[in-house]
Amino acid sequence: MDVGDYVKNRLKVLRAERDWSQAELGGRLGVSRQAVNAIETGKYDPSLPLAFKLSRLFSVPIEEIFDDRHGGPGDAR
Amino acid sequence: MTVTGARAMRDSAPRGEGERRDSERRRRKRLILAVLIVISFVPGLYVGHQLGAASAEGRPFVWSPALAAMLAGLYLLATLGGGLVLGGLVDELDRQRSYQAVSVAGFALMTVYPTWFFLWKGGFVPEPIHWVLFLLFWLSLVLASLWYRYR
Repeated sequence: MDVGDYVKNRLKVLRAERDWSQAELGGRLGVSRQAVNAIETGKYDPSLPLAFKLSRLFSVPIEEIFDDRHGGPGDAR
Repeated sequence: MTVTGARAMRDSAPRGEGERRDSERRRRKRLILAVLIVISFVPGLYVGHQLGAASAEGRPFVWSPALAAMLAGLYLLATLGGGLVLGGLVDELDRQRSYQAVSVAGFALMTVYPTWFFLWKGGFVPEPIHWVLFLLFWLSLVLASLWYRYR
């Protein structure tokens, strides 16, 4: 799968707003710093349970963190 | 301690609750891996030493039943016990990479062994060697793990 096939996300921005390191976010989520980095750089899409954890942690809907409408097939944008 | 050293220590020290948890998780993972390496390395060193001594004296190295049973027990302890303990520490990304690496290693084994077997039956190559196949699986696993981790 190409990197471009993964959904985009605002994780880095949300993390920066709280002045959290990747390790800090990973520790709060129960995943490694590498996992946070892989999600942020679009190399890995988190599972649905992890996406919900992120949503609860940042107190925003999942749609505000992840966006799969960025030039995919049939997308008019 | 120098100012630079103090700053490096302060910067590397966990800042929040998340970093503390991450640090603890990594520490436990390293500890388990170190124990597994020791469990693997010490018996390997012993067998290698015995093999070398037997070879130097020009006699075949005969495995005693006790040694074989001990090694089998240690191997089961390391793979099953280590797998169970590490399984509780890895996250979903680690798990996905492991599945991918095991798939690659399994594919390598499923490709090489039957091909080798058929060619052996046809008299083209020597009989398949079990430890070479085992090594092939582990090498494929390590290479695939590294590929998925650093690509």
